[in-house]
Amino acid sequence: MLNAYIQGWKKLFRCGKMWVLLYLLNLLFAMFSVVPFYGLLGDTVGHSLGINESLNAFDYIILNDFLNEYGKQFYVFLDTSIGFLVLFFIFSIFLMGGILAILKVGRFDFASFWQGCSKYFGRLCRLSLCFLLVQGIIFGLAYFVFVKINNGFSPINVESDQQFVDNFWIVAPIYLFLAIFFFMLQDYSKILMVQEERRGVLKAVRDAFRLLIKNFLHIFGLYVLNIFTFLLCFTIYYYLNHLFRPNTAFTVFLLLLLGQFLILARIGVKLLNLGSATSLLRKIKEQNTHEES
Amino acid sequence: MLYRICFFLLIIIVVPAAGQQAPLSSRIANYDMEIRLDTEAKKIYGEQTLLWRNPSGDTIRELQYHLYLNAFRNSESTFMKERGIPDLLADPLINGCEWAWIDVEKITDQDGNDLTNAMQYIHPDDDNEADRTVISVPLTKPVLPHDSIRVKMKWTTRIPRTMVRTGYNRDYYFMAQWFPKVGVYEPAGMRYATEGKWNCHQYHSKGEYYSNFGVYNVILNVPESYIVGSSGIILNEAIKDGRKIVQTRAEDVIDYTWTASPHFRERKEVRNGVVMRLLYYPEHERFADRYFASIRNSLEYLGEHLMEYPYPQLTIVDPPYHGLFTVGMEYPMLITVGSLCFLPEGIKTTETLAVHEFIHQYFMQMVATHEQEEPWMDEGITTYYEGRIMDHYYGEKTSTIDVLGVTAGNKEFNRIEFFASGNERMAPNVTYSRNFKHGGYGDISYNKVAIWLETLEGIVGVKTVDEIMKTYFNRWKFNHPCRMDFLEIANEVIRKNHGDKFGENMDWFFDQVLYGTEICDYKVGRIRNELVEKPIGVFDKVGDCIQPDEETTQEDVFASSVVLLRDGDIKLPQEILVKFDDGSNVLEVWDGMSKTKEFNYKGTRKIVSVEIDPERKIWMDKNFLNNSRSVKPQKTGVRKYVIQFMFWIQNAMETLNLLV
Ligand SMILES: [Zn+2]
Repeated sequence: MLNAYIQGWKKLFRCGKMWVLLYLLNLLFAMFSVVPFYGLLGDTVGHSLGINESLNAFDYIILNDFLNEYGKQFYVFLDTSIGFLVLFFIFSIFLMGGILAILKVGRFDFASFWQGCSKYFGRLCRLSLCFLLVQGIIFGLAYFVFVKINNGFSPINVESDQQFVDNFWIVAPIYLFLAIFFFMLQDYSKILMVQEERRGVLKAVRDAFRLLIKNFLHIFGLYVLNIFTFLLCFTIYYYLNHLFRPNTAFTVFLLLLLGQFLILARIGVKLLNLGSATSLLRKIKEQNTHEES
Repeated sequence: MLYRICFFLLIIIVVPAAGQQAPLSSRIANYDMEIRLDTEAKKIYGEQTLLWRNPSGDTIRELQYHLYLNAFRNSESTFMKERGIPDLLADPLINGCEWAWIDVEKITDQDGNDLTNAMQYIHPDDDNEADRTVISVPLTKPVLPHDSIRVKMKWTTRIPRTMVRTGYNRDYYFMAQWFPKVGVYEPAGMRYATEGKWNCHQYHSKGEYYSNFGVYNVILNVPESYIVGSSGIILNEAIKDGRKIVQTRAEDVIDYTWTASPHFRERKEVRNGVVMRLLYYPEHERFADRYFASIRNSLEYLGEHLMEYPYPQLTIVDPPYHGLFTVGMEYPMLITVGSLCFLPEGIKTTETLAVHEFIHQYFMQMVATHEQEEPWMDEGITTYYEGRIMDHYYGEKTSTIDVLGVTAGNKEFNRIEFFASGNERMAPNVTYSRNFKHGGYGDISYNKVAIWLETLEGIVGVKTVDEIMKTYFNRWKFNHPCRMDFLEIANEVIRKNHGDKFGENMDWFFDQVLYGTEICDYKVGRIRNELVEKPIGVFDKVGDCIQPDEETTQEDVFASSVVLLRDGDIKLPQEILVKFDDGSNVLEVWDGMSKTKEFNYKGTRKIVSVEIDPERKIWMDKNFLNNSRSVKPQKTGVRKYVIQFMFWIQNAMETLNLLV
């Protein structure tokens, strides 16, 4: 497990270009929303002293006066942004093929990346939709169970609001565990599909499931390690973010850098997760072959 | 010996009299009640004697009583028609037939005359024959001017499930608007009465209170395990035959409310002789200190600004979740507060509710206005003081929300609630609560009033507003003013403090905010700094022509101007801060009357920014963002928000990526 984690880091730095490429694509997509927002803000309140006066702290009045006055324009624009997010989701499925293809060989080059993107798009699309459905069902189920055991939060039927808190601490960990389980299953299914050139989604999921059950502690342990890596990055971000107030041109620039650090870290951890999982899978397969022989 | 007897007699006559204080109120409606709670049948059996004093020079030939609980009798009551059957109670009401009612079984006067058969249901507000929330009781023997009458009544009530303010759920009982309560006889000259008449409205879904002051001696008979809280102080508690008999008394109050549950826990604190008695369910133990702190703060603030709380006790009830519909209510000497176990401490609704409901002890309890006819006079003024107290003790920017860097002050929050409601123009403040048929009751009766009182502070100064409120409170405490009384005092104090600075009176202000439905929005239209061309041509000497490109040693001169716009229809005086590039400022004053206003300047300095109402005195202005304008764009601010927005979008994208 630890070895796979270290291998994941090595792969991440070996494929640094891919990391940067993914970050730039994220930035590019964000710009589709950000540029019009910049225009909207500039046109409506760009000359208001209130904007600079609100720099020192969260300003409830400024935010709400803006939404009251320019809400219609803003919400249209927010809806468009959601459209872009859906597009980005599909594009991410496309990119996933490239990522896994590169992690398979362990070295980045543009040709293999784009080739991987197009080659695996169809099957990864089916897989993603399948797991999107599964995650939706799990969430819906957890929500349904939570509402049900809390009697629909009805003040007529519920004894005490403490019940909501108690039930939350039962339902939330179970939900979280299930969600993580299926995230892991999805990861290993897609790695299998690319690693072993499989086309069938269901078969890949079935094999990944067996693998996951058999090696649960290793796989789960590695996943937890990767989550901790992200939490560490987030803690650094959170700490640094509280060190300064973005109220001057320079500190606003620092805010930009810090935000981008976290985005870069999120993408990095994603690659680390997939890279380390690829290594672990290979290791498990090797062991299995060794045992069989 | 005789000397000793005389001395003893003197002691027993004089000493108690010296200790007795004069009543705080006129004590027109006084009740002695014996109440038995049947928790099996969910019923209350009551016997009451009303001692009613005729406050007028009229001869009274009938009494009118409220029978509020008949609102829950069927789907045809005015209350139910206005409100509709609550979804949550549709099943118990429709299928379980859990309708509630109050049934008067016998009425007799002091001479033993039986008045029961003469009793009639009346509908002073509408033609709804099915409504049984008001009765008229014709008297066999009329009440002569300033005379009194004692009327005995025996009644039974079936308690509703808690849906609005009152009722039971499981073994929690909260009894508000629950007994036959006499209406208010308004003699000619009182409030809007031109002739003596009863003011006794039916029970409506919005607005409740209007009653005379009086003394309530109430004996509550409940199962032994129940803990009782009420508007009165407990004089005696005894156990008899498995029942708890609690003797209570409330003086100089307009109503009496009580609660009972076997699960209540009790905590007490005393501040300046006032006992704060908290009744709560075990799971809300964690909120006890916060409730006490809120009430301590309110006692202190209102003690300083209006008058020390004159009652010996305040019962604070924190209902359980299954009594949620009784949360956030105000009754004499008893309020209900509320919170939820999962709310973070930074969400200050726990404090806000406690403070708000406590303020009602002053506005509607002591200054007993008519909530059904003039809801703004208690809810609006209470919301105004809620903002002042909350912002004073919990921070102007943090008194409502203070969670993970997201903050909002109470005044800010109320202002936004009003402007974001979409109901700003729904009705003027002078609307009966039942006439807010299409929404806006809360936004207009609560928030709008707070906003215009804060605006009044901005115009005449906080000291003057404090004086208005203090005068109004002290002149009308334990009495029943109407808006005219408030306006008269406001005009009187403003004129005393400011002469005719604001005109002969403040009608121009109140006409807009109290009687009008318009919006206030002032904005900076444009700023211009134009270079004044140097004079060219022939001046002193014929033949000496000054050419445009000739160099002079003179500095550039600019014609600067700013245009202000009044976008709303409310007209209020405004201050305008104009800043110039040489660091100088000019504070202009505009009466705010015209639709546009231009200020012009000529000199070597250029305008850099203009701000209307720089001190944010006009809290009614709908949009503070357009109140100011700078010549240069506010790049740093815009960039910060854009960067934050970009960060959220990027994170949303990466979160979606988890599903790939
Ligand atoms: Zn209120």
